[in-house]
Amino acid sequence: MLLTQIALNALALGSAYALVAIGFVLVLNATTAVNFAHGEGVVAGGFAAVALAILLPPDIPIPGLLLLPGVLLVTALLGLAIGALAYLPIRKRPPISVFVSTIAVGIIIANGLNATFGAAPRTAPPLIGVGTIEFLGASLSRQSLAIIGITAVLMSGLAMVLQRTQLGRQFRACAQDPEMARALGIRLTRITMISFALGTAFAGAAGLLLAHQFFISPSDGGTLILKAYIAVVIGGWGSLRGAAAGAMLIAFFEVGVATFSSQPLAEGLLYIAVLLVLFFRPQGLFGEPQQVRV
Amino acid sequence: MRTLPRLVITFATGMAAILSLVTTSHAEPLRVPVLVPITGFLSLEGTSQKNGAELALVGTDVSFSVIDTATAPEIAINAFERAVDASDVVSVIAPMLGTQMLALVPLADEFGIPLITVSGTAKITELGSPNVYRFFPGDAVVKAAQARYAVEELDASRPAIISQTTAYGQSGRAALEANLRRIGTPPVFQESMDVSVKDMLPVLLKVRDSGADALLLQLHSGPTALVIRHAKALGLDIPIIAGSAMHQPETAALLEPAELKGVCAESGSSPVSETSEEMQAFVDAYRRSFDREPDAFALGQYDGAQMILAAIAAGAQTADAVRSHLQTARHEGLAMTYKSDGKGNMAHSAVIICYDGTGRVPQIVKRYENLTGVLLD
Amino acid sequence: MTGIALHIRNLSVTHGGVAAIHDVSISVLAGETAVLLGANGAGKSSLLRAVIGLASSTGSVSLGGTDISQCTTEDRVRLGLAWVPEGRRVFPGLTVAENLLVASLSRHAERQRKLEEVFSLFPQLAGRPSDHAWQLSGGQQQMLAIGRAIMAKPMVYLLDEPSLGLAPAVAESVAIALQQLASGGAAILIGEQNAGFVRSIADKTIMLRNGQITTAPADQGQLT
Repeated sequence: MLLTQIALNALALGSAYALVAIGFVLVLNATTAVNFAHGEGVVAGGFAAVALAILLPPDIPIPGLLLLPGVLLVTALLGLAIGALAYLPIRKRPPISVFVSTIAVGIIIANGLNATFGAAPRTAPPLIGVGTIEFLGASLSRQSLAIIGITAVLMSGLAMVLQRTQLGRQFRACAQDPEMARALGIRLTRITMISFALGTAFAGAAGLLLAHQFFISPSDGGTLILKAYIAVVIGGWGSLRGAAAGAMLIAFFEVGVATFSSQPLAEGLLYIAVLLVLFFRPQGLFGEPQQVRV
Repeated sequence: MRTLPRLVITFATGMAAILSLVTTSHAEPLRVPVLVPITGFLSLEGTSQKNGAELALVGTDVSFSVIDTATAPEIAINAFERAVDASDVVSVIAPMLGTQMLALVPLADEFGIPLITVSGTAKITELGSPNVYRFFPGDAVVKAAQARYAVEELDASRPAIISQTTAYGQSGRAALEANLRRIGTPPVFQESMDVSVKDMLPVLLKVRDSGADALLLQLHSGPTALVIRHAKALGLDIPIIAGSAMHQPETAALLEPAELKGVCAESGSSPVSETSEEMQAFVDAYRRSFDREPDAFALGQYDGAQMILAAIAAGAQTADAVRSHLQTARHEGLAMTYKSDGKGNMAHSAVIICYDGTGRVPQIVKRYENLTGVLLD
Repeated sequence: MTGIALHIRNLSVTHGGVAAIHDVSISVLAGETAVLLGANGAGKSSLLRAVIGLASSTGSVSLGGTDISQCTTEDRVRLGLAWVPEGRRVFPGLTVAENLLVASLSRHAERQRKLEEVFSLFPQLAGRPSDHAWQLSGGQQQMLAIGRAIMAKPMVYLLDEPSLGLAPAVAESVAIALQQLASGGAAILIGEQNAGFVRSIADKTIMLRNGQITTAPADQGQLT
């Protein structure tokens, strides 16, 4: 019973983190640049949910799930804005320029949210209601089940697009050899912008999923980008599967290991695990050996 | 006859000099800079501080300016040095973040300017400084109330404590433990959390496994609400007695009324729960000015600023004179009566508020007056 | 299609201050196979990269009469230019079929039709459409790279060292495939250092040395 609860919580948290990490990798693959505003994409998604919930009638309890399309739309547009402002104008410059420009845009977003909503934590409605469902003698949290379910749907949708559509093939081609992709007539700029939109939308979805159980504050972006970065380092730079695996590992440490030791120790152990991966398998668990990492 | 023009000139010059002296001494307004954390993890409480001070000082002859101290001690130090650069500073409203207060106290001593704050961190009045005046009951008062309520009113015999790793969290934790031991019920479980921790399930599972029958919290606003939400989700039904963060309306807003059932908190006061006319007037004025509900930090800061104004009204024109007043006078504030215990602790009473599960406005269920005995003389 | 398919006029390419290509002019007719013959470092790759737009250059490039000198690489490809680079550069993580499909600029039905066309030209690929490209041999990758170029239905093919690393028998089948493309009306410009490979298919040979054309276009019979 204890293990079931811990496992479900870890799986739910890991799912949300996986969405963040996958969104991060989508942009990484299209641009070979690190988008440091990605954490703010998660925060923006959470606040989009908060704002949309305010607009709804207060007496009718709206399941947070219904806010998902609105949140995806808002954060996709935000992603386009980030790509257009922080990446396109300087993409020919060295990667450090994109670090700096995306960090700057991230700060602008965080401060904008702070000015609009205040710095205090806010909460969003639960996804499909509160409480638990009894199943095989265990109490399973509805919220956790909803997070896992929504993540599964989004990830399946992404997998289908990537594997079965021409757009998906173009994405993957650009990720593997952008110059050759251009030489086949693939419009790299279009793919890049779609990646920013899609990647940020995934981050925004994670924000909605996390906002009820864990609250959301304008300053949360920094911790989230760090988790995404670590997930990708562990899982393999540029690998979507690896990003999801890395995210699950982080959640496993935060929830599982923390339960049996303490939170500060669990965090320390996570970072030791990261160092071990970097030392013994620098390409990450799923990565290709000859990747260039920035 | 030749001396007459000289006399007239001398007399006229003398009159002009006296007149200019008289007018100059009232030309500069007295200043009370307001240094508060408006951004960062304590922004909620810092904004309350700012609002309370503002409500008291606006429209008076005292000039004040608000400077954000965020979370880092260096920023508070820079803000202080900038603020006291102007002359006629008689007092400073200081940030309630414990780590920043600890950094400011030596500076206050150097410049000889009294700090008025609502910080709960015990240490700030134990540094031997004559320049710290705390208008919120310190750990000695509120932690005693919190512990006593859990044991004496709720019959807890196996309390657990979850605290923050910050200075506020740790000094509170120590005071809670000491108080619990003093009344014969030592804690059966304790853990400290970083402010950034979001998932409370691990620590709550440990609380449950320890067999605790009451949970005492010494956490900031967000983490307090998270613990309560996750405890309810886990089905952990033991009473929760939280720190002052839980009395704040913004903290209650994060939770559903049903989640608040069985949740109590210690505080210096709870303005929205009081029914007296003067308190209602304060609450209404606060709502009109800031479009939000006032909490005990705002009220404590309001009372503190009012005491400075009382000092000035009694004739104090310098920082030294204001300090004198703070050290010796008794002030009838809205929340309670304030008097220094010699170390700068002005507030000696606390309340326990509880939520009944039907709404987000708590009731005051118990008052602990004069817990330190200072007000008897 | 008849007439001049590819017209390169006074093309110069500079790499870090050094002229890799100097004042080169070449024209290739529809249905013609022209070969740029030269040793390593002669400038063949630089020239082809400049024509596809991946290297900056001065001079002009026309495709089927249209000046494409100011066009981006993507636009040049969409106008009918195809590039098969040195080392093949197939997408290793995509399957054979995916490598081909991603190169198509048409809609679904037309894409499938071209896919079948490439498979009938290269039966070795038809047998393993779901294998990942990194699993193929060098020769199969070369066929895949050419097949990928075919998918866009180009007017002009640019090939950089297509025979490099291939066994003679495999190189032979690649040469036959190129012949078929040319007889279909496409213009082909090949950069090669292996004279033997191109002997059977070249309509004209251009000698390139140190970035410049050293002799006038020669007929096939004058190759040594």
